[in-house]
Amino acid sequence: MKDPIIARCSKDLEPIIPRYLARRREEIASLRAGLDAGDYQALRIIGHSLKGSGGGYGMPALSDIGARIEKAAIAADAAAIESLLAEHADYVERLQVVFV
Amino acid sequence: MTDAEPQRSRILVVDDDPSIVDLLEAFLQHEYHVSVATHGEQAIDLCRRQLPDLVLLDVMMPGLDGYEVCRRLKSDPATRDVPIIFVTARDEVDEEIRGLEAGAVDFLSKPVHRAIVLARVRTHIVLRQQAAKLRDMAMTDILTGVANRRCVEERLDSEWRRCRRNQVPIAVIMIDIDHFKLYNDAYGHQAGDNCLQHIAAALKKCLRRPGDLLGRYGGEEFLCLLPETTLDRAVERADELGRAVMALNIVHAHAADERVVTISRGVSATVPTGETELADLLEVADAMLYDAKRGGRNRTTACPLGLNAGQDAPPKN
Repeated sequence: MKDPIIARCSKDLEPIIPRYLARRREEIASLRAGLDAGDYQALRIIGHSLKGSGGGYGMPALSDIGARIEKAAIAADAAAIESLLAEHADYVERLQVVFV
Repeated sequence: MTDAEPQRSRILVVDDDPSIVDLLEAFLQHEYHVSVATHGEQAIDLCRRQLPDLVLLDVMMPGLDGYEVCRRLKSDPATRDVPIIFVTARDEVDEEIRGLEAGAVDFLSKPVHRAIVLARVRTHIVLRQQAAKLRDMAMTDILTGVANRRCVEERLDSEWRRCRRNQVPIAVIMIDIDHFKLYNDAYGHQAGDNCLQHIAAALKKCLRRPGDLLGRYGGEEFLCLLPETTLDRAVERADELGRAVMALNIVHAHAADERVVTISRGVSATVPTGETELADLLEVADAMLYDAKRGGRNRTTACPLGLNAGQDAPPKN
């Protein structure tokens, strides 16, 4: 059992957090598809928008992963994106949200 | 603007990322009425349908991007004055500059933070409310609460041009309170002010259509603007105004016959052409007002400007 990662979110985000996390899980599949197709433009957009949203939800680590995906996609660095995908999946799997 | 039941300010959130829309909505919905658009065309459409008080606009969107949405909103007189705050990634200084040049009032960087969003939004909402209040004050007669002369002149000008474009008649009624100086002398200025207030309210109540305007044009002079109205219809409305004021039953012992406060009305109308001018229409209405005074007051006198006062429109449907 891996250690949980705790994210502290404001209570009034409680209704929208499940949607946000469901989209992040779908995003893992999109990243996979982008990598398999070598579609760096699509990967760049995914990274850019993740960069823009994570911190707002109290998950700055996701913004950081998004920023690095965007950068790696611009560099067409498949290996880096592969490892970021794993990091992304690991984060979402271990995440535990605490509402404050 | 009324003090009762203040309306929530309307904010339009535009972003193609549903996660950002969700988040901004969660931040704002306790204080504001929030609507959302997920692409540029929808944003423009929503703005035209119901003007928001503020737009939070994403820059990078498929289809119309934020700059293009901004440009289109700024080029349409109906949406031009809505403040726009661009929302974009933190490290993009070029985007920020480009957005400000496109007419944005401010910038928010993603990831967005509640306190910053709320502070920026509040600043621009308050500015907008203050601007609206000042505009309101600049256009309202302080004593009677109806449009002031500045407002009347602006509307006359724009309605004149609109009616000329559409080739429809425009009518004005010049209104003057009969023996108002005698009334002031006899009952005092406080009573005179009250009299003006009651008359303005009674006249305004007679307005029927959204384009109609009543304003205070001088001390005891009012002007009623009736776009898309023929001379005959305007005369009917002027008579109605006269009856409405008599119905107030404001005692005026020094008035000639009626022993109550009355008004005289001068009416003119025309379908504007390239040869006629707004000033001519006002001059005819004013001349008619003097005719009404000379003819014994408390009456309507009317004359078209030129030969063309418009035909009564056939009943619709």
